[in-house]
Amino acid sequence: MKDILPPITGDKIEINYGPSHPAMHGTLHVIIQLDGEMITKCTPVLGYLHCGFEKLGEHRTYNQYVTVTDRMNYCSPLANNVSYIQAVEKLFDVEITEKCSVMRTMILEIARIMDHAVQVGMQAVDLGAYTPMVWLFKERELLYDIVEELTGTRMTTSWTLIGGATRDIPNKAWLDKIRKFTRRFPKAIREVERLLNKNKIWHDRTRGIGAISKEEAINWGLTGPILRATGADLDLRKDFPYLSYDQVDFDIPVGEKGDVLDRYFVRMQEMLESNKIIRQCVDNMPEGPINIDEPKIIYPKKDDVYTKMEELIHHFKITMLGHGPEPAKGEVYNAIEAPNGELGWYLVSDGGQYPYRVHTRAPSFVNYSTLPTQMKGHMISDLVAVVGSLNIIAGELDR
Amino acid sequence: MNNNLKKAVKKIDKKFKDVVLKKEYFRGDYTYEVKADRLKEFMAFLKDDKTTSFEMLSSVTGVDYSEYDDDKRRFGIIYSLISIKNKIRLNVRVRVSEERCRVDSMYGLWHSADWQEREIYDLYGVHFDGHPDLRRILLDEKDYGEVHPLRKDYPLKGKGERHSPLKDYGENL
Repeated sequence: MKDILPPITGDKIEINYGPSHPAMHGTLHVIIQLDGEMITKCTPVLGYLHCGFEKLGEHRTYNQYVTVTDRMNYCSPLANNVSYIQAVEKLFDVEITEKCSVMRTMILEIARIMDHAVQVGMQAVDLGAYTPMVWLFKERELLYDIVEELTGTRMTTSWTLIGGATRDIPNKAWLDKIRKFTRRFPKAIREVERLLNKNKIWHDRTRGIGAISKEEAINWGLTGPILRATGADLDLRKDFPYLSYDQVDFDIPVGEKGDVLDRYFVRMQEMLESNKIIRQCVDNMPEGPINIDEPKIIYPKKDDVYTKMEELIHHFKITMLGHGPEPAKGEVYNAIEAPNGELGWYLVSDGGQYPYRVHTRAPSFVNYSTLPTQMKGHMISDLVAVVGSLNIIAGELDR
Repeated sequence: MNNNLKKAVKKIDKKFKDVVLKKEYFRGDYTYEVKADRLKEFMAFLKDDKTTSFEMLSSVTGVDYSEYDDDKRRFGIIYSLISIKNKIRLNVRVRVSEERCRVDSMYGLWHSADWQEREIYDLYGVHFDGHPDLRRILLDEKDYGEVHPLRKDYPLKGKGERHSPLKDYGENL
């Protein structure tokens, strides 16, 4: 027996958590140093999904790069589309139509519900509750149907264009479909809350886990629901209003302790607030065109391209190298409140058809950097809870 | 324009006349270009002063300006600051040359600089003095060595690092 067992030395052991572990969403890899079951040190390792998106951006036109942005985030691709195009429009100095503004606001909130539903559902699965995931995914599926009808696809949406969108509202029934969803969604949230809010196991696994103070969270650059769970009320939708957010009525839910439980409460509340915004947008959807009237920038209608000679030439003019839309020389940084936090784009233009530099300020990247701070003095099983609550999207993290 | 931003800009202009090299106003945002050796002092003021009070460093970006303008200082680091109290944003840029590729780390003021500076070190090769843990973050140290893919002289399709040992790679690969 003596020969088989290793000697007990009291040393700390080091283990690899991930990169392919069912509880580590995507390809996350953390090297943890353990003292018994306590984590004494944890070091995230990144780069397993590094695709060079930013380098690629320097070799694609502004419109082409939209397709790359939705591949960065498979939970809320629409939020990435809209946020990127907002930055591009700032660079081009383009003012979008009122209908487009309201549509984008609504789409952003749909994306927020889709993202939060995945986060809450998957975290519940990680911590041993299966039902909330199934119930929330049912709601998410309804939203995917709505998105599919608008954009043509479920995940790789690529919906936006400079100055508008690839597709307008498909039909009147589509808006009714959304209205119907907003009526049923609060009920679904209540059902999930009844399962989790007073659940002893849920509380034991989440209360006080990964708690971070407000000052620390701000210093670490945390944004989104994770920051608001600490009690700071930074929300770009309210503090730096963009699109139509200054015309809709909604509240910013904030937490207190900044632990995993508070993040759950904030996300659940936020979904209801998003639902409210969607309802207001549907009810006040303006009439008129979705695209701006600026032939130098916006693509002609696809039907006309196939049937009319002039429109075909027009289409080529925008697509061909050396003829497409070109912004002024300059640099902009534009950020919006994406489901996970501040999603910012730093664009540098040298006056050409391609961007000189595209940088993504990915919320996942900055939020994930706080993992070692949050894991101090916690057990190995808490790592699952904390990583789940941060909602790290590997595509956005590694870019 | 926001009143708070006006006040903050006025104060910065008055206090840091000799530090600010350039002040740009483009599409509603102010960008200050400052001297690299005075950056830390400038940023500390922005963080602590009441009129500016930039509690959060939201984004750090690197840019390789070698094909952008004739300036000899090749690399630019851009910091995007956000003030929760005053509800204003500001960008700060420093430029460094390839020979003296060093910038003071902002980790001491804002911890959010931690990974973002590591990313710039990884992809551009700019060193950050005073960073507690300056390692590559996205690429592997072993395979990539002195290669920094976001530099403009690095081709889109790569130099073949993934298929051959690092010491063998050359322009013809």
